[in-house]
Amino acid sequence: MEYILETKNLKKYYGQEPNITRALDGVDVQVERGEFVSIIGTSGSGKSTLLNMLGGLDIPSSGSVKIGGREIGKMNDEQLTVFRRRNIGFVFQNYNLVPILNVYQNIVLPIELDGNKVDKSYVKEIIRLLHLEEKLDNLPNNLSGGQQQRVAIARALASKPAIILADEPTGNLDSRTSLEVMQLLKMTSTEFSQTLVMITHNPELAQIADRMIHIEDGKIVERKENF
Amino acid sequence: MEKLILAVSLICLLASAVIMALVRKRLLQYSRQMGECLDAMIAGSKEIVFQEEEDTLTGKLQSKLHRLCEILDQKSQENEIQRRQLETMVADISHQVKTPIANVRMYHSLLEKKNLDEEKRQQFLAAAERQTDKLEFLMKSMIKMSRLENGIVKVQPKENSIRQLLEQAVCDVALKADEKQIHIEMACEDSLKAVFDGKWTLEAVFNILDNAVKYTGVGGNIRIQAQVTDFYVRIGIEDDGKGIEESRITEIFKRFYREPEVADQDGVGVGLYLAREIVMKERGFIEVRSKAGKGTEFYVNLPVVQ
Amino acid sequence: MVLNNNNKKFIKTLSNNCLKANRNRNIIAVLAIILTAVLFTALATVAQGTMISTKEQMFRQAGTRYMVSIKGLSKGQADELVEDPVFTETGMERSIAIAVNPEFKNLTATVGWMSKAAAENSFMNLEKGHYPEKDNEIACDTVVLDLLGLPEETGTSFTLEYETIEGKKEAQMTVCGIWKGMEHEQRTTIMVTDSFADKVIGELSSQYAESKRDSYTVRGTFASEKKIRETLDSIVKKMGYNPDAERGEEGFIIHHVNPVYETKSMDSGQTIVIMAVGVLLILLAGYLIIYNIFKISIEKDIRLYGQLKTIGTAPRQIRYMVSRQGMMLSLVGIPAGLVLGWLLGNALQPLVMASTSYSETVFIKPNVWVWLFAAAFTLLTVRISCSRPGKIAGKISPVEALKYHGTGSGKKKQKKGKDSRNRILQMAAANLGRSKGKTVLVILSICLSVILLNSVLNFTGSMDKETYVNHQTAADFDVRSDEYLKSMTEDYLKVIPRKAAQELAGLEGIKDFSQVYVRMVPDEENTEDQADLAKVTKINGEATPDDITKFDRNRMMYGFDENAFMRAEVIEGEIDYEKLCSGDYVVVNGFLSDRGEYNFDVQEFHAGDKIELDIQGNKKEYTIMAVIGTMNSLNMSYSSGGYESITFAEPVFAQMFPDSQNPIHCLFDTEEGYFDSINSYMQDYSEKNGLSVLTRLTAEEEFKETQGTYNAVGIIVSLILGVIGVLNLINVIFTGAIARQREFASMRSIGMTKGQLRKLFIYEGIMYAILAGTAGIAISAVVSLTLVKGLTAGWWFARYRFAILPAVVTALICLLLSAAISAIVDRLWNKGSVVEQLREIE
Repeated sequence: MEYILETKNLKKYYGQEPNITRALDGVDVQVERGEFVSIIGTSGSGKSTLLNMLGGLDIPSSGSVKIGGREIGKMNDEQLTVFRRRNIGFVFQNYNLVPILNVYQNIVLPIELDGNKVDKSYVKEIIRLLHLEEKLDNLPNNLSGGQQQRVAIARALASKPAIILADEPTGNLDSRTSLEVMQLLKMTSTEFSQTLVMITHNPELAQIADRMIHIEDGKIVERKENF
Repeated sequence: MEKLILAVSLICLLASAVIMALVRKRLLQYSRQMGECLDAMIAGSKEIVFQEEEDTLTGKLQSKLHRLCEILDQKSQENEIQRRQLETMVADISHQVKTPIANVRMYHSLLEKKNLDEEKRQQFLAAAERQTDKLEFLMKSMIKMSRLENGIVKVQPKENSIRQLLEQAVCDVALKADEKQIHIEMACEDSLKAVFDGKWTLEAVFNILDNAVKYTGVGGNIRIQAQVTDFYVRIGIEDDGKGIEESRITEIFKRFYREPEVADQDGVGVGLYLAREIVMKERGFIEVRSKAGKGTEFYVNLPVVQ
Repeated sequence: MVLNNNNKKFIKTLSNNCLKANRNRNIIAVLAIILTAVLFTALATVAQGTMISTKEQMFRQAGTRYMVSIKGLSKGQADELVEDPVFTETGMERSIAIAVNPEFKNLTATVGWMSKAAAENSFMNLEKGHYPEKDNEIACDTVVLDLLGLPEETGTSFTLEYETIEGKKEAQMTVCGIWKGMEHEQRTTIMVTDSFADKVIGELSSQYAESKRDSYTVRGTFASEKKIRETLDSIVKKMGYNPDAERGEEGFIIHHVNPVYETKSMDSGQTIVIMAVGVLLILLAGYLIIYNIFKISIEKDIRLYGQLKTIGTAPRQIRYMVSRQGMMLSLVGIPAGLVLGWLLGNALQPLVMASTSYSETVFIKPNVWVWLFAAAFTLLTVRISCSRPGKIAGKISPVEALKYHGTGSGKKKQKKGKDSRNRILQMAAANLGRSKGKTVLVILSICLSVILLNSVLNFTGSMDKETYVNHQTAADFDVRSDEYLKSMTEDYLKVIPRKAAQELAGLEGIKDFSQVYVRMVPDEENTEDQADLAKVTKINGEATPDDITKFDRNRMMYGFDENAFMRAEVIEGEIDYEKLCSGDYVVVNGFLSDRGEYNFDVQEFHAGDKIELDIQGNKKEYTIMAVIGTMNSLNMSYSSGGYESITFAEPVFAQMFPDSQNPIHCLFDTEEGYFDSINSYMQDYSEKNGLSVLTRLTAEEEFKETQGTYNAVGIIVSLILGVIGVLNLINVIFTGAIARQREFASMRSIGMTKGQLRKLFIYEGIMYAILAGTAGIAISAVVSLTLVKGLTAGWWFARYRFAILPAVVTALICLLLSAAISAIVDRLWNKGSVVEQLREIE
């Protein structure tokens, strides 16, 4: 079975000896296609770094990252960006909405960037599910944290990417809404056979996933199969 | 002057010829690349290299092909899983059916004995009937399940009143509850609406409620309430029954799962499984919170009216 | 290209939104683009204007716009030639007589017929009426009418007196058309019909009529300006003449190329170099500021670009996004810049022309090519300026951008010290030190303008009026022909009519009236470098070497009267005018440098030498009585210093050259108290008589004008540099404020008051100014002591004086400006509550 996401002995060090920070210290992760994996760990455990690596945002110090069977270390900046645009949807902890675009433009951004036709009915459905209809013309700065988070999720879903990487996607939502948003994420990802990797520090949310990866001090400590 | 015009037009002609040649070359290259990709897909090769990192039309289309390829793959895998599930279901059913039938057969042979007093006979008859009932219930559940899973019956969510749904479910369970002197309390606004399929959702809510009644002791309380959250209407069904061990919470939705302690109770362990399937088909979800000995809370989340 | 992804559309939306979000940046950028466009357009406009003005004036002086002329044709030949397809434009004309009304004594008025095209190409565009149609109709210019005392209206009649080859005749003519004449022009045409011309020729006796019949001239223009001479020669050959024949030889025909076309190629190389240097300078200036604006703006938006990249905006798309912003801003800036630049160009035109010998300027109409050129180069500048910032934006690593919150912010925890003023000052200094490159750039651009301004003013301030005036005029009044400085006029015409000179000599209140004569002959009579004007054949009995034998344009023969000799500086020997008049003595000119230094060794002839002169075949030995140094006002216009010219006494000169009786200079001083009245009289008199007067006052004015031109050019360039500097300053303060919003908000949240923040801003601005000012003043002083000093040393009418005041003043202005800018930026940015500010940032 080929994994859609696969890291081999992935290492990421910051700084230099003796003040070296080992954000990731030899991580091997395999994610199957269509799987829903949650990464759980304390802050500073390296989970965000891992996610950035999986998304090709950061360059590993050593080791390899394969996305969809492609070794991303072999791509240049331009190629990597284009590859990312087509395959990966991100939901960031701090939303990372483009401040100069309104909500709708933000949502369709990844689609438009590739010059694709926006699947209007699908995007409308997402917008409806996430209750964003009335905010479409607003700029992100005029939205509450929760609303921005939902826009970020909508954006990650809109282009139906093969992989969705989410870093504390519900960090700014109350636990109720978090759960609901997670269910939404899960629902849509099953619908489009998407692989979902999510960082969280909330065990309750982590349990929604098919599988949990615990990370501590840059290493994977145990694997607990749910279900 | 004429010479100039002639020269210019000649140059234009030449240039356009060159451009055409170049365009054709690019188009050929494009179709060759696409063709190779498609050929590899037809051949079922796993080693296709899609140009997903190139910001070109070829790259764009190939990355779409890749996605399509993956989704098809995924679908066929799902089908495989479903087929296997069906197999296990058949096995499960045959297993589940075995006991009642064996029981009925046993009662039947007992009843056939001549020297049976009336009292015993009545007893056996009743037991046989119970087994038949169980069989019937089992069969009904099976039918529902298979219909649901094979998509013969379509869940058709539309705007429906939550209160009506809850009232109907409570009605259906009222007799059983009365027997155990369980007090059912309901808080729900009249106007509350959600998107769901009336008939099937009733089945789901009834199953949960029925379970609650089943696992709540005599004189217990069940509280039903419904409220709107961000995206869902959340129907809570809380009992003060025996609760569920934390380790088993994820197990309870599995088909034919039965709590070990309640093996004596009647039931086949498809109620919650069905309930979850139905609610998921309606784009909702069910959550459970429970503490052993203190009671269980089920929440049915149905999509809110937009 | 064919298979590129079709994903540009949304990048356009993005770049549009990005534009909307950066209004302040846009304003500065548009200003910078306008400035660049203005500079380019002004440069191109001035270049174009100079070209047009120069050419137009050269055409005017040549009297025609046509490229070539062929003269002495019969009607048949002319008619045939006019139709020759080798010409793109042709005109035909014939002159038959000279008008000799007494009013035309200072004017050569040719009577003749011209085709309409020929008239229009010879600056005879009618303002009123029509060209002659009937035999008694004439068309002429306003000057002719003025002289005749006729109103500038058609329909009036007068008697035309004209002189043909057979004597004077008269005809009653009616004015039917008028064009504008040029003042002081010595030649004009009175236009009659072709049939009138035929009639006049018909009246001639047959011997002359024959020659006069072939009086047609055909003028024409070819399609190309290349190989005019060759084309003309081929036409001449085609007509059966020999283009190489000399006058009087077989197959000779008069054919000319318009001198304008023959001199044209001379200065084009220089013009191209000047233009190229100008273009490069402007490009650099534009680049510096636009690049800076975009770079700062991208640093500010680094998070945005990082986000875009995370989501999948490829570096190429980001580069396109940035450069498109530049293009969009250009769309606003360039048209405005073109119009402003065009106006500025027109305003600068007279200044630039003042430095050339062609003083008249034309108003330059908008020209597609000039505007295209300016727009193209501005676009190029913007493109270049945007490309690096675009690359920077494209290279931003997504992860770093996600973490980026401005350079070093958060590291500097600001405590409120005991002495808060001092503390703020330190903070301001630290802020300047954060991006040294940017700070240096800003300071340098302001500094440069300070230095340049100081140097220019220092230089022009060092110009010495006395030296200049004394050098330029040897007398209170220097009267010359107003053709004197015109290069297109033949030299022998650049004289004061004898009658006018006599009138001047009789003026009341003048003294020391002096006259200067020069031996000059019409070009046509001249062969090869005026070589046979005169020769120095022997010096002290020995044959002279070839190189000093001949007389030429620079080495000439002068005639001075007694007073004129008084005005010259005697270097060797002594002048005895009586003896000089005997005809056995001559005076030679010695070269004096602009500073009045005489180099004895270089001088070939010295006082006491005996030389033998061969003047038009008459050989005679003369003794050199003295060597004199002469001012410009005693020389021919181009003969500065005299080049060992030979000077005779007036009577000797007059006797020797009876056809050179008109002086080139009349010099005189005034009696006490007469200067003003004579000055005003002379202005009037010279205007009427086609003379030009250089007085002490005009020399002073000239000096001021020269000084002013240098000042103006210097000030304009420093102003441009200054504007660039100030724009950079605004930009740096502005963007600094925007980029550090978060920091400021957090500072305010920990207790920094608005007032303190304002102080911080103003200190920062002032610090830029102080740094730039001190550097500017210091460097200015050094430049003044070295470069300016060296420059003035080589400048003949300059006396070096140290000056630093302009630098100090400009530095102060910079100081005020930067304080003001900072205060304004503070007003714009430092408002709203802390919470609002913090919210803004997200």
